[in-house]
Amino acid sequence: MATNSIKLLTGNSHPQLAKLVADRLGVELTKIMVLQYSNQETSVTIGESVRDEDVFVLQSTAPGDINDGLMELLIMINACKTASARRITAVIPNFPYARQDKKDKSRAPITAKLMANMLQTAGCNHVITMDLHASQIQGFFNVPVDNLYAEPSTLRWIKDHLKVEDCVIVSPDAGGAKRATSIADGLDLGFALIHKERARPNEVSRMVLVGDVKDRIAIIVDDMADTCGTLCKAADVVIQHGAKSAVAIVTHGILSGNAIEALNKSKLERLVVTNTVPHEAKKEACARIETIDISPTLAEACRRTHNGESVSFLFKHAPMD
Amino acid sequence: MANRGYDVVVDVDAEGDLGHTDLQEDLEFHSSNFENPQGQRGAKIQPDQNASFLPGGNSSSRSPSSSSKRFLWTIAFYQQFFDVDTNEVIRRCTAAIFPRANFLDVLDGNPDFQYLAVRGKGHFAYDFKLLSGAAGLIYGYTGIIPVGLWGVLKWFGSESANLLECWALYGYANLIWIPVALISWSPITILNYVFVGVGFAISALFLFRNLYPVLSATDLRTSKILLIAVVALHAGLAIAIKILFFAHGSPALKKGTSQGENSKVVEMSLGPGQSFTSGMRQVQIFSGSSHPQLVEAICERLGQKPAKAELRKFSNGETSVQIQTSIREQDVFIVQSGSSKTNNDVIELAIMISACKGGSARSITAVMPYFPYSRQSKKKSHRGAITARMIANILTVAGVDHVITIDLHASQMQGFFKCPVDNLVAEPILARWIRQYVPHWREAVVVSKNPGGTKRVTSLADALKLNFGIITTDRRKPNMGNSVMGSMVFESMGVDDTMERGLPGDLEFEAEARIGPIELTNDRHTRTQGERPVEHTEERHMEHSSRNPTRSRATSNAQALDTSRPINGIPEEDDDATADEYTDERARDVITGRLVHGHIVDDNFPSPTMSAMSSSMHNMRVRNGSDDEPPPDNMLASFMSVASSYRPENGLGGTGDAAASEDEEEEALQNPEVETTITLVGNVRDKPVFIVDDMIDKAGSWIAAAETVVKRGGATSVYCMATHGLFGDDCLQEMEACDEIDLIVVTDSFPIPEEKRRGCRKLIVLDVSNLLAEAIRRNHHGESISMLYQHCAD
Repeated sequence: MATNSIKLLTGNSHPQLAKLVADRLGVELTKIMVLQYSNQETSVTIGESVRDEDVFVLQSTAPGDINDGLMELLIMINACKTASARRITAVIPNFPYARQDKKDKSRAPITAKLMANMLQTAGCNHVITMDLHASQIQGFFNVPVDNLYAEPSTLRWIKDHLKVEDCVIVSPDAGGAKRATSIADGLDLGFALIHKERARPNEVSRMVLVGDVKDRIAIIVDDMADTCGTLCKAADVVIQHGAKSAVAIVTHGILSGNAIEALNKSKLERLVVTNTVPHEAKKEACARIETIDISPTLAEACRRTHNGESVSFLFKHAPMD
Repeated sequence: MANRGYDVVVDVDAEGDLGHTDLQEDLEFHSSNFENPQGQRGAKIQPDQNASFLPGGNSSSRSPSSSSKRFLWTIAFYQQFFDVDTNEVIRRCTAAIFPRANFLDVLDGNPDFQYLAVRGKGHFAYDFKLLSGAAGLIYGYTGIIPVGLWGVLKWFGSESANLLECWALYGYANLIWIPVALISWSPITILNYVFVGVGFAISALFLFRNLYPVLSATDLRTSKILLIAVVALHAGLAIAIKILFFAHGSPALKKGTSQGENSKVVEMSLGPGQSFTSGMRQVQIFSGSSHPQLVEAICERLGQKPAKAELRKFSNGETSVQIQTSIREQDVFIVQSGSSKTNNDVIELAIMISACKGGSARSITAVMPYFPYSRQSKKKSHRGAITARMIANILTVAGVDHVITIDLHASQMQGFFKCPVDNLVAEPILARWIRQYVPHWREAVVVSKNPGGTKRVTSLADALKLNFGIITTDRRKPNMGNSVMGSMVFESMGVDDTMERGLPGDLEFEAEARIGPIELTNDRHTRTQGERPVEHTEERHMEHSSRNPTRSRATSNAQALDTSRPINGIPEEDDDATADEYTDERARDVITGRLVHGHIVDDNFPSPTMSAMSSSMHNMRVRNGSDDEPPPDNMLASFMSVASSYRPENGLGGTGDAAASEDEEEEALQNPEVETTITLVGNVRDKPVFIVDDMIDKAGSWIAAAETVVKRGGATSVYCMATHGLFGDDCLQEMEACDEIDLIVVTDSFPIPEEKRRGCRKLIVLDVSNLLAEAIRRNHHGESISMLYQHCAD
């Protein structure tokens, strides 16, 4: 008998987050077996009926095996589809390939668009994600996309952990200015911007600071920290310009490559990331990393989507723990 | 000039060609030439029909009078040189090879260039460089020497010489090289030299006979020198042909053989004219990261370089694709097989397709020798994903226009795509390998290691005209009464009133069911009367079946000798009527064995789960059983496997086709708690056996099958053959260690890492790059690919 209740599925990419969301929702994680054959083909078997249920598939993308995680997600969605789920919502806190969202060079693939098409082809009816690199990615889908913001959680963390009046919000690049101004407005703080000349992806060349950071705690805000090159250089720049200390707050802490070494050597006092991407091991390797739990936001989005309530409330407010 | 009437001598043109013309009737032309002397047109004019220097050559009846008004730039001008019908050409060719009459009589005053057309077939060299060399030599020789000869004759005042006739003479003289070239493919060098010598003798004699009267017009000494020069030049040609182009002394061919036996095999199967060294225009072939060696081979075959694309991984693991060459309005082929990182390959392929789509390619073809996830092509268990369909959809949505693949696990997967799919078969390659390298292959038996692969096996058996066998494994169910199962089986048989229709699709049952139709039909009536029906039926049936193989063996052997008809192994449902008379005797050879821990065990081996039942197993050898023995229980068990193979997990969507439960099978083989019964249907005693499937991933079932055919069936050697050698985990090592397996034959559709290949002496990897290259070429040119499905006769 279908209960039309929430069925939360997760793959191997980020079981901790799924557990937190499930606890918050008060449901058990649906039994599912995600295995790999000897030739690394992924096999998915769903252990309980999802017929006529509201299925949420939560899968983040752990750095390193993004494609495996992606295939797991697609196969899980497809398995639910063939198992006659009523609605399949993909909860992808960190949308993969979000940075390949435009044809910036000749014959460059718009992979984010491909991902959107793949998700829809697999049978996805709804997508919940967080802090998309470019909001235009929502337009790649023909299904509704809820792009949640980590900003409310971030604001709360700043209020809780820092002296707000001593802070200044710094955007490490022009693209993030909007995000930074939004947070600065929310905290009624000043705002500075670092202009950078980027030669190639993941490489940062020269940086110019616009704005005043003198004797303040510079909060560097970005949507993702991958190799941390940008953040470390930005920290150098703000310290050079007389900032008291530098704190970075990013939504997606991918921290790939030698990000940890770079962090340990950098002038960043703290790096605050949300738990959209698993980073427990890295946290042990680098004491400066701190975590904001955004599972309440995701859980609330799932609940509201399931109950047909408005999600826009979550854009400005973070649910209390 | 005066004595010839209206002679017009046209001036030397740019190329130094001379035209010497004699026009008799064309007044118009005459006058126009008078008005424009010295040939402003720079034209060569049609040859003099009456200028033949031979008796009887004056008849110009074939030449129409209107032909005289043909100019160099009109087609009609050239047309006249080909104005001979086939019979005429044949007559001239015959005359050239058997020089009886003077050839210029045969030419009949109408020299033609037909030999130009004929000569093209002369050298069917597989290497086009070689061909062009040969063509250059032949055409150069027949083009330049006659001009020289004619010039010399002219110089010495032999008015009767005619350039066109010289050309024709040399052309027909060289005709003899065609049959010489054809028969010179024999590998015996001496014989080839003899053939070339004979060819040279005939053509030289022909030249000599024809030129002698002409040359004798000059003084004696000159004519001697000329004749010697002609013959010497001809000898030079003959030697050049032999050394450079004919089969086994050729330097070009030595290069070809060094490429390895396998590539040569397929190259030959494609036949002459299928080889190409110049690249295709408007085609870009991209290589995914999974199997670059295969792409190199394909591109080499197609005579072009793989297109440049940079495939990288970002530091966070995202795949990055950069197409570094323009693909606008081009046909793009992306070759991506599977590898040990299947998911990366799939995503990478999708991104590459998407990038090409975004780059305005005219068409995008995904070449996937091994289709990833092809085993997940249906809902195996409850709520499993049909991943293969999803992959198909993903590729479609990425923008693929065409898919080329080899030996899909289930050919129904072609229906998953919205675009055309070419499912190539590697079977001809395997068959060719068998024919060439397996001793006594004509006695061999092709065996399927599971009932699902029977279609594949029968197809190969048909192609090679061999017998086939089937191996099935069943989980032994000790506690399940056979009588219950049996009654179910016979119920369904009784309803239909035909023996073959017991349970459609189960071959083992059909093979057994044909054994005793009369008894069974009688028993059905017994059963309806309700007197211990089931046990009785089984008893009678088994008695019969256990007796039958020994009786039928003699006849089947005799049959095997005198008939080579392909076995109609699996009658379709609508073949019921003919099945009775078409019953194959050999299918009655049923052998069973016990499989514990994935290996064949002796009959008295204690069963891990069912020692109670094993006590009745000591007389299970069917082949040795005499007529009087009671029916062995294991026969019963294997017979009843019809029912037991209906496992609950197959309840949903289980269609019983290709190896649906392969993985479950493997699990069962490895599970020490489960004893399985392995059943071999078909006679393999003292024969080599080919165990064939579409892929080798895990070793268990292959080893079990090999042990069964050797230990139980008495096969002499075992060849494990498959299209895709996935070799997961330690599969290759395990198969290498298995003494019963003699060779493992796979194609290189799936990349086999070097470290796995190392130290594996049994592994033979056949080349499929030619197949794929040919498919790519034919797709690009819009030719049919159905020829690639055919077996080439030896």
